[in-house]
Amino acid sequence: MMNMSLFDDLASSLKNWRFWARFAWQDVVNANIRTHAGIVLYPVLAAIWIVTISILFGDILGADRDDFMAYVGVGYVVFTFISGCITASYSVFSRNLKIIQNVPIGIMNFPLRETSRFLFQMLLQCITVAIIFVATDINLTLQAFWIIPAVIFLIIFGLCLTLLFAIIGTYLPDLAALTSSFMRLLFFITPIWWYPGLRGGTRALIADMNPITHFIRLFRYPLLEGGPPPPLTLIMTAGSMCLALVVTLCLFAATRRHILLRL
Amino acid sequence: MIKIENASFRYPVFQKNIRPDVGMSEIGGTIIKEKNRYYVEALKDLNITLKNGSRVGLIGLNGSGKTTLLKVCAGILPLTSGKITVQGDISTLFASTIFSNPHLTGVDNIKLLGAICGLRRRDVKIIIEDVTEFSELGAFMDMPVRTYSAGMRSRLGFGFATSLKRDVLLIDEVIGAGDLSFYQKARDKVTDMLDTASTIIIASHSVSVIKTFCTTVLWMRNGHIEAYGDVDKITADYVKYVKKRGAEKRSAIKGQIK
Repeated sequence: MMNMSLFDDLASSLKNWRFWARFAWQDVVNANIRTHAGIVLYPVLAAIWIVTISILFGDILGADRDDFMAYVGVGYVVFTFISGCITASYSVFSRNLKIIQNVPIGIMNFPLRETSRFLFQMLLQCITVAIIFVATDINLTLQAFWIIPAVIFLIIFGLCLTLLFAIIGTYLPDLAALTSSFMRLLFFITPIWWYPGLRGGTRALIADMNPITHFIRLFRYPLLEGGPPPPLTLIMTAGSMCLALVVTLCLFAATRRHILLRL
Repeated sequence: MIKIENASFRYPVFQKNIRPDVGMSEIGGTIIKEKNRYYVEALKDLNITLKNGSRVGLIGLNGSGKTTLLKVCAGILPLTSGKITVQGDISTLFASTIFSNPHLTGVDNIKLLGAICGLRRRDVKIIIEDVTEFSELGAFMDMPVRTYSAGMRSRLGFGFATSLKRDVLLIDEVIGAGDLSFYQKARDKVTDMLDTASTIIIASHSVSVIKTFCTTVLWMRNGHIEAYGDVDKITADYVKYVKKRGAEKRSAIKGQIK
């Protein structure tokens, strides 16, 4: 609804969880509606990817295959969530145009729907990671509770990215093509299937400067190392989240009334 | 109640290759150029107050501003200038294609629409019963919406929009697809709604729809109010205007052929 204040838009959209949660789940189901496997495909495809990468690169990197599979699994799930929030968000508003044009609800409902969709996908992929943890005898300690704030950080960061790239996609649609190329690059410079410590030098530095690395570490340390995330990771993730929040809210406040007119 | 004060709305145009003959045609709003940018002025300085219990029909040629007026009233489009005050909750029925998933059944689509409106599960359950009874779709409620005709979709959409018990109902070109029995039921439903002091605005090209559902008419022309008042008088004037315009166009074409 374009005549709402920014605060009303955010508050009413957050309150309207029945809409975005239901539609997000519908999106997850619809993505594979013509298949027999349906939503089972999410954990299955994640398993295929994680196992294949672990077999291919585990030996090359000289890692223990069981530990490496869990390491890749956690990295894959977190990276897929963040990458989805960036690459698919460009068309959030245009894909919801029919609803935006016809129903007076807050515009923030749509980024919430998109972020929830990737969150549901991530939860389905987590089934694979859980199976890997059980199969490879990884014992969780009390430090695993660190993933509670980690999930909150990740959701807020993902929501900011979704909204940010949804606005950018509305005003600068040409950037969509650049982003998909950039995400491919980001995939290689993020330590999903390699250890930053093994290579050293520039590559490790790039990995340390990459906020996604730290979001992945936020999950890996409590789950795989049995300890809290390092201070640098906490600073980088909290900093990235706050920066994304401020930038996105400022941009949203400046553009939200005219988003529909740009679609 | 809906109070519209000096309301104007412009659609910005982002293309640069626009024909230079900027100005007004009979169809559509006014194309204007300001600071190197083009705009379509869809509404211009509208002033009107619609009291509770009003049943207003919106008529006018294509592009006269009917849909834009409904959308600014609903808060979907932001006014360029002026002010609109709407007292009460709004329900909209702007397009029968709003049903988000044609592969889902009528019941599932009602559930999704209920979710859009933030309704609780028990309220949605009541609405499903209400819509099933009103729409007379029977077994089709459990069939995919893609198997519905336009009229059946109208029944579903109208049934949902009027089940919401909102203070203001805005309808755009949806009723026209229905049959005679739907007309009768829809008219009864609208009459029932007015018992709870509802304001209803219906945009339509069908004079019979307007005469069936409305007590007053707002005639829109090029983004401004041409006339507002009694349904019989205004619709008669409008029909006369449309016929005169058609005759002028035909004679102009004949002149060109000669």
